[in-house]
Amino acid sequence: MNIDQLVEAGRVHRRVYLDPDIFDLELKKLFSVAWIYVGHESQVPNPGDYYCTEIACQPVIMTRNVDNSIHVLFNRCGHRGAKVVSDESGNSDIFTCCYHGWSYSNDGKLIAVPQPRGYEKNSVKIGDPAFGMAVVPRFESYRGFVFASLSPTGPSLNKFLGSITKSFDDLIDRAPGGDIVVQGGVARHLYRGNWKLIFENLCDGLHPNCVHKSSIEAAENQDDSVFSDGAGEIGVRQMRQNGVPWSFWEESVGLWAFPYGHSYLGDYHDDEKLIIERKNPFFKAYYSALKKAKGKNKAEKILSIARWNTNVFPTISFMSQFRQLRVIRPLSVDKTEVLGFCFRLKGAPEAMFHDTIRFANITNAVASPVLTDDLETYDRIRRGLEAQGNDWISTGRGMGKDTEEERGVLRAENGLSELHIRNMFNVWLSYLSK
Amino acid sequence: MDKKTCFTIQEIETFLFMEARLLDERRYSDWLKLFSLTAWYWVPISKEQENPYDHVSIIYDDRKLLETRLRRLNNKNIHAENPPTQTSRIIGNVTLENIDETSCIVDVSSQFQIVEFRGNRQRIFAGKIMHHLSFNRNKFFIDGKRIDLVNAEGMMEGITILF
Repeated sequence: MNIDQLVEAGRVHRRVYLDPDIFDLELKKLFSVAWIYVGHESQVPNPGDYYCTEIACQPVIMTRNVDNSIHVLFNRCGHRGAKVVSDESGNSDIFTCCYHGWSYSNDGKLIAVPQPRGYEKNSVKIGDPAFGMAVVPRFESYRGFVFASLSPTGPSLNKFLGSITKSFDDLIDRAPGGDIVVQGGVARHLYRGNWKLIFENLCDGLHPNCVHKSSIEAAENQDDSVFSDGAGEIGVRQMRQNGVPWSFWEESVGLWAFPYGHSYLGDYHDDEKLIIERKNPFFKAYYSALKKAKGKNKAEKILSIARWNTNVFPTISFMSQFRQLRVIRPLSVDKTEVLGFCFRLKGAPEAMFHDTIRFANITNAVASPVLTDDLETYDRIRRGLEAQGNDWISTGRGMGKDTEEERGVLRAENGLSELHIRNMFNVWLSYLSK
Repeated sequence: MDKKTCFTIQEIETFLFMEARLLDERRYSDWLKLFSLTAWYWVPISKEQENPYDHVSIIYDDRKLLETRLRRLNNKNIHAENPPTQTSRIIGNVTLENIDETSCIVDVSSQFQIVEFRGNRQRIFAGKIMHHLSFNRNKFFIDGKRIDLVNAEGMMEGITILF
């Protein structure tokens, strides 16, 4: 197979979504090389805290050590290879394997071996890294967002993220208390389809009017005088927003693409409540807290940023102004897990966090009236792509009309472009053809 | 029983079975009529979840969102329900809790199992339902309904049915 032949200007071969061999290649050359999102530091606030996730389908654990340092380890016993920690999250001073009781400290060092006689020829020694829970080759944090790479060499996290860090800054800077905390549980769903589909969809401005037609029409016909405790108010508004005409996407929405495959869709909402929540009862308290912390000019500047989905290729997509983050985990060529997290802004009113939760229920819940039509679409793409007759999938919308805004950063003609898809596949190809 | 009570367990069971039937028959407009005007409908992501406000849910609808959800289920452009999902459900182990005879309100706990079929795939859902019912004008109304799925914390594909 010549991987170079699968990506062309304005089109990709359908095998990139279907072929299990390509998926294996992605695990080896992309997911085992690029910076992969592990979690947010606030998920392990205290010494002994841990959070388990996966990198390239391999179990890893993020831990907070007694000295407060953060570590990312392979979640595998140094003895016979069993997964050591089975709970997704928790707190423990010591990780003990269920199989023969080997125990590890929070930084992965082997600290105890029951019945130690008999290992002499094996040179098993307490503290020997060869028998510890192995440390992943590299891990770094950008303002609390922890990423890891299974490759010992490669660009730094800062270089990898480039100026997409502004989306992280946007999320964090909105907190009057200067920091954010993951809270409110995890919204999980699984779809039958390739992992790349969700990255394409999340910055696709053309799809809502087709895919979400049922929820748009249902929301448009909703009587607003009906009782709502807040859930319906946010939910119905969000569904209606999906119905803005395509002319709006052409005239008022921007799409940007970055080196290493990142992208974001911006200036999407002109709805005051959803953008800056100026009409919300809690806005006054929030605004005065933000103004007090940052000064009036800075506060206004922070609130004027209107980024929608930011995709950080190949593992996360987040919404800085709505305080949501999705982690995309590939399971196989046609199965993908998505985990949705919410952030609480430190120093913001409690009511604002309740809105964050309401928004998550509409965008990320497995039974959401919006999301379920996206999931159905991924499923139909998976089935449709099996059809022979045309091997090529078009990615050419808006092609040739991109402009370079800063070095390596492209701005699409408008919010209906497929620039982010072309950019993703160019980067995808450079990983896979190395 | 000497005293005339607002309701008997048989009446409540009949109500629950009728409700289950409306859902299996996809009679959503009739189903909505069972809810009071300030009702809520809640499927938590964990049986430990204490409230729907500071934690995400599988579903948390106030009356307004529930109306929109049901209107969408009847919309012809709903891709996720084309073809429509078929369900068959069994409600059992009905017990009454927190009976308030004065106000004619009662909490009803039940267990359920639903077989769901769509697009040649079959799934099973099971769990516990807590109905908060009130009885007035000779009818039961659902003031709130909480459904705890046994696999609430699990990884699931899209859900379009109601429990």
